[in-house]
Amino acid sequence: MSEVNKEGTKKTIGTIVSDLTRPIKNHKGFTIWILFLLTVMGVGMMAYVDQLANGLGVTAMRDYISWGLYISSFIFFIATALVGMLISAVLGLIGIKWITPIARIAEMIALGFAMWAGLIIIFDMGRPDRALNLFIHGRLQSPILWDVTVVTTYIAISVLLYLLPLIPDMPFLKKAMTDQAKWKQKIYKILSFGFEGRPEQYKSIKKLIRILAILIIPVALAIHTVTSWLFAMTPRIGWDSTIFGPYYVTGAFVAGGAAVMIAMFVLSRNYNLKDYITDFHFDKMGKLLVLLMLVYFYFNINEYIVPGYKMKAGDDHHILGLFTGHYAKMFWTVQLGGMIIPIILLLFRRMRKPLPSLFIGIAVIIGAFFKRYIITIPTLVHPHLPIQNVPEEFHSYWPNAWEWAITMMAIAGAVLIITILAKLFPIMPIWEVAHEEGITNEEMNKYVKES
Amino acid sequence: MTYLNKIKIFVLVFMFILFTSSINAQWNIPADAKNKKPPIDPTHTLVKTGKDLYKSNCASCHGTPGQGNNIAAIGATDLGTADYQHSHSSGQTFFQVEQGNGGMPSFREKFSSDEKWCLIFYIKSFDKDFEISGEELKEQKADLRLSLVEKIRTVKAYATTKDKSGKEIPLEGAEVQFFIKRMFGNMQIGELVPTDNKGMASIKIPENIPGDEEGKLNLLVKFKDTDTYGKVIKSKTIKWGSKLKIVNITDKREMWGSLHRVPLWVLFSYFGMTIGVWLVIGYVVFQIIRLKKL
Repeated sequence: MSEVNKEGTKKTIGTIVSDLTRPIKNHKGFTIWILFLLTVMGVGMMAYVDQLANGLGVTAMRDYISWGLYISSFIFFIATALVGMLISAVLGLIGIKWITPIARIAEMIALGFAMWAGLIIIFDMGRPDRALNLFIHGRLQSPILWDVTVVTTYIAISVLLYLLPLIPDMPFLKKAMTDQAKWKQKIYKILSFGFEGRPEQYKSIKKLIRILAILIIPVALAIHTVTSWLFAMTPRIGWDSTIFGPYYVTGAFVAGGAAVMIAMFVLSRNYNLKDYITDFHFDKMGKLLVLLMLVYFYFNINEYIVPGYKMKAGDDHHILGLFTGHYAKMFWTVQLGGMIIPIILLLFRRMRKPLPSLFIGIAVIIGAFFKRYIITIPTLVHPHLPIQNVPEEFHSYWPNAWEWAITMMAIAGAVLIITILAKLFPIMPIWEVAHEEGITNEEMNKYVKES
Repeated sequence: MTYLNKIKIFVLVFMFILFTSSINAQWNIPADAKNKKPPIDPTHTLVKTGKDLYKSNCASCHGTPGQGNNIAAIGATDLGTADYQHSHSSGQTFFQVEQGNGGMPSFREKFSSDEKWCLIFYIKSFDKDFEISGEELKEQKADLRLSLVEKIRTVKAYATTKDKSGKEIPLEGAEVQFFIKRMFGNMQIGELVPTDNKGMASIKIPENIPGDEEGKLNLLVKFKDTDTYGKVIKSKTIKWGSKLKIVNITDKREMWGSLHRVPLWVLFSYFGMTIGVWLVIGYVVFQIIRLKKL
């Protein structure tokens, strides 16, 4: 028995397969949940159709504040998606064992959010029919083109990193899911890619996972660094910062870590997998999150104290606007509720139990969402040239119902992808969990073959 | 000195001039100065001399007499009005020119006494009752013809006029000015050149005068004395300037350039990284497909 499950008894491959495939077969409440997500998306779609028909004028964005909720949500989505790289690549490569049952959850989150991040950019376009021009006339010198490139690349690697550990699970699924719909079995057959548990196949899969795990680290760093460069490469007050890259990356790990924590709770409770995702995992995840948040806190200190100490002309408006001005309420709520208080709480063992973890995770992720808002909008309110002779509505910004509806559609869409993946495939790699339990490949092959 | 400081000083000087000119609006002119008479009699030639002096020394503030284009704000009056003419004797104006007051500088040292009187004659010539003796200056309509000597970069201007029978004859002794047209005015080349007995005035165009992309310059030639010879301006395009090289910053490979002018290091880093990563992705996909055969 490894460190994964200290309290439990040794599991056989049969119990592991039935434990992990049972939730896939059980549809209680699933339809209602899907209907709920589809309703949210339907409302968002209506708003988007209206936006398509009448233009971006239906949003609250105007000439000066032209990056609103969509772009701040885009950063949030990219940020959340980055956790896949942290958990399955960084921690996996350095041989940390407790991530085995949550690595695929992190990868699902990465996939869902990365895919919708790309779509949010489309939502922010007034003429999405011209999106192709970005590739035809895009300049290689522009961070926007780099961003499009790395987002696409990251999605591709994330798909593969989700798919690869799934392949050795397929023989188990084919065996366990014979009572399921034909199309599902067909998917399992196709996605097995002829995997039959041969040692060479295991060796190849492990090698490929390792290659991708190494490859995704620079790509993931690139995706969020480039996202930060969309801001930092401009001389705008509040964005003109040299630490924006690492500031975004660490912030991303915090958002993703919180998302994983929430998903761990929801999935382990809903799928009755408390034996697999135990208090031990929540404790570890809580410790990881507190470490990530401390690093992020350090970058926050640098990002705000350094210009705040100097108060250069221009910077002073921005900083004071955040500290004591128009954005003070949101700023301090986000910094305290989404970072400082969770850090303090997570230092206590009792707060790293599943239920407190869930609430802390929710606080952190809401904080992370509005932190992106705080990064994006206040800068736009202070252009270098004064805002003059424009209608009153151009001076300030608060997202309106259309933007909220469309953003909610994106969030629901990302959750929908996670839900569908969690309904089609086990949320943990059966073969890796089995390896953790000391079950050999031969035993697994024997189990698959016996009828 | 910063731009702002310059403006400040300019405003201060301007206000000082306004102030001093307003408090000194009253000229204190002694009676004997008022009655001072010119030692020479006004002739048309002298009036002409006065006009030339006026143009280069007085017109910038007082404007053209009678036209009302004087700068009243600094206290400079229009010297051509009947009002001025009747209230100012020749001696009085002479005194004012010599003395200066407030914004008006003293010309005591600058002009000789005769020059000053010429100036007074010119100003007084706007008074209908002012009598000018001597022969009236005759207009002598003249014309200019230009020819270029490429080898020695020389422009020859031939001045001609017509004799009584209407026959064209060379004009001798007329002063000719040569200019190169620039964006905000004309740049004079060399000094005034009087025409010789063949009516010719010539000048060498210096090297390295910036021209357009082909080195073209726009040459203007005219008589100095437009009153006599008329406003004859002849222009010619000459190719003796240095060629202007327009360096368009977007023509270079720079970060701000177009897609086709992308800096090579950006090009290679972008495609190097992108192709490198996608090759690995392609390899992984290929290996997944090959899995069956293992």
